[in-house]
Amino acid sequence: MRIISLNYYDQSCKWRLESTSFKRLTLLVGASGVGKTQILNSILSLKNISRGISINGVKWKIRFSTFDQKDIYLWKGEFENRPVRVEKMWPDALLKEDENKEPPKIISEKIYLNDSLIVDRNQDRIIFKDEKTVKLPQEQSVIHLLKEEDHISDVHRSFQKILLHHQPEFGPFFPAATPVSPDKHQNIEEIQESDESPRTKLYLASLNAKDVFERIRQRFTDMFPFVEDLKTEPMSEPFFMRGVPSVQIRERGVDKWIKEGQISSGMHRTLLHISELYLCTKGTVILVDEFENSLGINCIDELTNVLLAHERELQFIITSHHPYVINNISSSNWKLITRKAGVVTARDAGDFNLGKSRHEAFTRLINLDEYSEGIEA
Amino acid sequence: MNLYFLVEGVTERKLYPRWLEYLLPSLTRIFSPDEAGENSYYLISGGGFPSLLDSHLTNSVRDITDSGNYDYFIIALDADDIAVHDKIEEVTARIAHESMSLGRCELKVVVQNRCIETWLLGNRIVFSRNPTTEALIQCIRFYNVFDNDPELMFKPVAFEESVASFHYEYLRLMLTERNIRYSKKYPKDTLEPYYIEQLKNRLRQTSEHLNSLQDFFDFCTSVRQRIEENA
Repeated sequence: MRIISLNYYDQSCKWRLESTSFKRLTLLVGASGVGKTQILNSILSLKNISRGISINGVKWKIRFSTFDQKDIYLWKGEFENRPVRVEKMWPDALLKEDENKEPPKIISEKIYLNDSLIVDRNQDRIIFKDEKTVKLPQEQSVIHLLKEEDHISDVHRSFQKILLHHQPEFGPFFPAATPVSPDKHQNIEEIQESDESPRTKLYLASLNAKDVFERIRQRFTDMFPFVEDLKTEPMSEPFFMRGVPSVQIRERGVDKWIKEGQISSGMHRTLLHISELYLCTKGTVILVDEFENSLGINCIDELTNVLLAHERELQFIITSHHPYVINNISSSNWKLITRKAGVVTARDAGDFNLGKSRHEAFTRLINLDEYSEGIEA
Repeated sequence: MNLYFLVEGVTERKLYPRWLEYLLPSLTRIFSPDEAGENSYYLISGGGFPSLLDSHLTNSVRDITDSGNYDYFIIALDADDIAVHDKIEEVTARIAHESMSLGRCELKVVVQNRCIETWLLGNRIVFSRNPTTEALIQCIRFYNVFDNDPELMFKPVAFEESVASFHYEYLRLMLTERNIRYSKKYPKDTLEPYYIEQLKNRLRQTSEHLNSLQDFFDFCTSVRQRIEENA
């Protein structure tokens, strides 16, 4: 999948993202509080909507291509906006039964394939390829409801390829840890296409896609020259983690393998990044919030280079405040985010006069009021 | 006449352009150093002192030599705990050491002695003779900037931060007393012409005070005269 552009409006909190275009690599820059993370969250919300989840008050328009970039889709829609009651602040289990059982309905939804309307929905009916469908749940998107149909299956599959890179994936007691059979996925294609966690994929790659695992190992040890080797194998204890794959490293001059719990958070995160790059499915859209978090400069520079030079068909939308990251990603890939009340605007660096100066791009960026303040009165 | 400003921090990035609108109104601000025309200035902030000399100085000199159109290269930075002439020497020595050539462009080091807030403390009409907050009373008891030269003020022994931090805090308290909010990022009233005029008044009233500010105003006057002569 490749996200081409996005408009998003959350009517319940009056948060609007004006039309924003995305490249293969898009770096969202801007002051804290302008809405960079919210942009990533809005993309994730669309993934959730595509899975049949109802989100109150959301209105959207997203243009994207499938990973082979042959077809361009436009998906737009709108949920009804119900007044948010105080009770909504509490978990669903505490809501009154009727509120819990009646999620917001979709008011309208349209899907265009290469400018041809293939789904046209309003509150009364759904027309799919010029034919009215049977009555279907009003609170769920057609992408979820018709996911077995031609074209819609491509759309559905595309949205499942949106991946938020988050930090605690590695670490000894992460919640998604599950035991895995060594032959569950037997080649790299199966591993990449699977929904397994990066940890599990890395383990399976070490067994069933040794050349890819070796590339990951090589990348990792290049970044940490004091690391001699990397392996992953099922844990034997504690009992409730038995069979869950665990990463271990061996440092030069140290005989014993260092267990995952003792590996630094920066090394964990670096390994996660590299693993995702090699083991995610083709066409994945990787969202990374605050790319530099937990990373030392020895990781930031190498990982930035990995993003820039990556040969796989992936799309990256990342946020960062770090001078190295900003300086090393061309300003043509930047989106400078500003906000005026609830309206968030993403503009190309070319819309601002950064000037033809010998100063580093980051220095010129921090000299812009739009960057240093970000929020317009 | 074209000027290239390399200034130290975020306050200077806000303050100098606004002051230049008033002090040198015939100069137009440009946002790309290669656009230097007839009467213009380019301004960039290095975002702090060590990096100003370590990296931004070299890049600014490159901009100036690339263009070849600049008459003055103005470096504006805080003296902090160092004497003004030592700070100037530090900058000129760095340029000489790195064999940087400015060509026909003249170097002007504007040392804010001790910092930009020290200059701003010179406004007598915002000084309160009967302060209401204990913190400001303590500041004035330590050093009265109405009667004495703010540039000669150090800091109380118990104040753990730098002299510049104390000057900032003193100014903030002094302006708060007048319901003026001041911060590094939002210097507000201090950008206004009335504030500049009050600083000029102060220099007329106490000509031996705020020498580094006087030096900057004198520089602006000489540039203004040169522009007028060339017109």
